[in-house]
Amino acid sequence: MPLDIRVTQDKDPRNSGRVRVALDGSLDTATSPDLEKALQPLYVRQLRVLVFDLAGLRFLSSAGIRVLMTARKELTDHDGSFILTNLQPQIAKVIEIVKALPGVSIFRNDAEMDAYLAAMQKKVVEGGQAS
Amino acid sequence: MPSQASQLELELRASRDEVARATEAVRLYCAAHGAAEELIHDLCLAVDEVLANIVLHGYAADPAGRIELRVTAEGSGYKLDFIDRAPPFNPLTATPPDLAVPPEERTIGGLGMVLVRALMDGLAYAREGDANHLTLHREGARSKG
Repeated sequence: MPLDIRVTQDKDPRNSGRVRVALDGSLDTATSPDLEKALQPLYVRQLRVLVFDLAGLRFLSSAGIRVLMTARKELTDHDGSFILTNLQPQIAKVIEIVKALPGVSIFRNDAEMDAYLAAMQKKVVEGGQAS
Repeated sequence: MPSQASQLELELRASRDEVARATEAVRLYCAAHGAAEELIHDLCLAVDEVLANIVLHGYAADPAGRIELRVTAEGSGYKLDFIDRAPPFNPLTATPPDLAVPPEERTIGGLGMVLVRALMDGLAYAREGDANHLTLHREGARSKG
């Protein structure tokens, strides 16, 4: 099964630094190098929030998990947020088994994720920090 | 539904694309035998993980490496046999990753076997002459989540 990767930079200026990566198909031994290549150019200082929309992801093996782990580290090393959303049940099961992504925000759907990000943004604004 | 045990036999070169080819073949074979989606998923995942270890670590991605994969339907369950001629390596006795250690610091290849152990019901390894032979069993009906 191939892997389709769609990267979208958030155009809303309030969400600058937010990137969404939608994955469709299979993230496995054969396709994980493609994701690794696609993510490389995203690892810039301005990246604040990286969202993986996994609604179309039907298969995930440890090769793919390793690429996600690297992405997670890129974000958390710079105090950013690494988010997975819309996980199919077999994907959630695999992630749970290897516990490879501790402290990662995993959401069942976009509504949950948007609520979380809005709350986080509110905290930042109220904290008086520059965003 | 076939009434006798039947088998899928594949000979693979040691490359990532061959891992994908094998997984697809296993998917089709098990689906043709009426396996449930979750069972198909778990078998395909075990295949991806074991083959990845053999290709990337056993053969160090040398495309001259050869792997034999046999899938045998046994009742409602399946048996997977992996035979390779890479240097001796028993994945069952290799040190498992400590899941409490930060993921980036864990052993390469360790995550794959954690998944295989969680998804399969039986695992056995034998060194046979110059070959590594790994056998996995998975029952059709499972009480394990």
